[in-house]
Amino acid sequence: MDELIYQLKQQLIEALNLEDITPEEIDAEAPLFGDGLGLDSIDALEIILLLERHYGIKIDNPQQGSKIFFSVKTLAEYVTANKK
Amino acid sequence: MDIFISSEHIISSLGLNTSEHLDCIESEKTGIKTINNSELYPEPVQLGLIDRNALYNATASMVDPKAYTLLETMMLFSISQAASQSNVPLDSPRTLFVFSTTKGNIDLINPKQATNLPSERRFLSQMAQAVCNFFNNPNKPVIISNACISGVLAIDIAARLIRTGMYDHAVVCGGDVVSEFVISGFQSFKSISPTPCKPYDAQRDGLSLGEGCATVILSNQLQQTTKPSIRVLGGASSNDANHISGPSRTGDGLFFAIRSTLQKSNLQASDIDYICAHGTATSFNDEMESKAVNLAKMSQVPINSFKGYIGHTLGAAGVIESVLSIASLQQQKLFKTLGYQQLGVPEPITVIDRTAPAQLRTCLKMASGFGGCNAALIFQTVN
Amino acid sequence: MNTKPYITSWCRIQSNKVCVNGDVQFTSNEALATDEFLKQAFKAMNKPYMKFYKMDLLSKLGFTAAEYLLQANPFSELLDPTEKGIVLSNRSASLETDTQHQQSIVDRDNYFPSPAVFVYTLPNIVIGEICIKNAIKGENIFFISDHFDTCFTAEYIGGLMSENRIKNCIFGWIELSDDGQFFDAFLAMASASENPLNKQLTAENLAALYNQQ
Repeated sequence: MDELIYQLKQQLIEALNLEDITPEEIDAEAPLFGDGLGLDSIDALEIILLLERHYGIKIDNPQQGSKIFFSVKTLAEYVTANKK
Repeated sequence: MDIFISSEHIISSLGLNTSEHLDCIESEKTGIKTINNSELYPEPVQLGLIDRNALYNATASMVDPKAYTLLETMMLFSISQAASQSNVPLDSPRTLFVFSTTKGNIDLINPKQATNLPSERRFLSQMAQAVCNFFNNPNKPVIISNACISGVLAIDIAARLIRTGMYDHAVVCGGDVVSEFVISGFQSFKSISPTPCKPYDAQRDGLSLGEGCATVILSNQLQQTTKPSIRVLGGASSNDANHISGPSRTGDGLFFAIRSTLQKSNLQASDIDYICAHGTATSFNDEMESKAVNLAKMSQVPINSFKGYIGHTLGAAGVIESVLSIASLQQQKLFKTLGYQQLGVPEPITVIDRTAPAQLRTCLKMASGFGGCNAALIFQTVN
Repeated sequence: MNTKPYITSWCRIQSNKVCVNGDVQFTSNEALATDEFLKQAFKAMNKPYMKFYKMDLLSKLGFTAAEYLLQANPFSELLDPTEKGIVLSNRSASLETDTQHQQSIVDRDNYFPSPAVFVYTLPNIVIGEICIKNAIKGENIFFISDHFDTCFTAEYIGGLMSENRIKNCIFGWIELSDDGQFFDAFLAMASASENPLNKQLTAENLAALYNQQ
């Protein structure tokens, strides 16, 4: 799980163009949206794309995303449960 | 100075001229269909496509299909059809061409599409110049590429430029073609509905893409025709300054454009008889429009969207839908919002749910687009 | 009486330099790729803005020019957001980003179009980014032309501001070639009343500034 969490952090930094942020600086349990990293609705769609591209997981309805994307940890748990 | 509509013309999935469009709208027929063409897009998708064979047949004697792209052919046809109903001279230095498009000849950058056309035509100015040259117009064309409000802006800018005195007439032509480029992009936003779109409806679940082209010829001289004459009043744009793809959550940006348009036209909200709205049927757009309409105190004004008939035609939308709203004024008829059954927006608005006669003098056309932009424009019957 | 507005400041970004009102504000000694140059030019202002790094190159170019322009000559604080406008133009529209989106869909076996790329396949998004950062809610429009049309621009801005709604207007030319290698940005501020540089917005004055080396 730790390895997946680290990998997801790296992928998020790249996919979301998070400049000057290292994986170590992202708290796996902190909310991704809201204040923290300043992510928005386009970032949410990019995370959906990331899941499809790297893990073969398809999410057709972006509204489903809000629970899954709460934190890097919930994202990792979802990936572990649904990875193809 | 009064600016009049001299003539107009539309091409879309509903047909190759305005009266075909009005016939379909009266019979509540949609041009949006399930398209299963793996060359165009890997999966079946709802699209409002023009009948390309019919277009090429109609232009066979006029346009060399090897010398012009599909969009250019649409524009050449539409402009020549509009011109045949107008006495505005296309080749005069007093006539300005104004174009509206979001993606122009975008298929020219697609390596999978074989073409003999020069790659320079991927530049919108080259595309516009090719069309102007066909009609021997000596002026540099004005080209607006401003997302989905381009069409409304183009008519307003054309009117403004005639009012400067530099021109007497303007040919406004808006067009966009459905392409894999655009379908794939909107799919990445998960904003395309699996069925023909339902503007303002409680069950709305996204937009339908369409393609089309429309021309409006403007003049500072009134041309008497059998149809009631229409003038173009004030227009305005605004920006939500909120998000690049999501509209304002308050509707204030669009409200500012409406307010400015009314002021420029010396009108009040109570003077507006009908609103031809943007109504893309996405959750956020329709919600935002309902808020803007209420801020403008127009919740009781009959409002519709034409996108259930033709889809969202992007750079063509503002011009196509302006022509249809002008037809409303000329026919004294309000057209049903196809796809709408039950109000599903947070603020009350009076969605037109059946086609019926109405006393109409003044119409507000509005549009919003990516980049947080909004535009509004007013048309009015003369006398 | 219809008085023309005034040019109160301008910013030029080309090759390896950012100049404001004719003075160099940033320069890079080595030849940098466009993305790296713009990133460095932006970071040199020391005004962090996370969204910058999500923008496409065209938006980074226009946004950076606007930031330098407004640093030297901010909008008046007394202005309502609807009294601020922005009018931009270029030749290549959003072709640089269009090429990227096109590349993401060319291979059906590796088909991952990105919403973050697609949203920038419209040239007016750079206007949106500048509006968001600076609370600009007034008239805005993006024109396409082969070259920076100083006659049309001077006439258009003059006409716009004579309506007495827009008091300050950012305007100019934000061009990026479709391969991303060539860029040319000229951004200026027009004011209805302030005239610190004693420069009316005429086609001649605009051309002289644009052609200044």
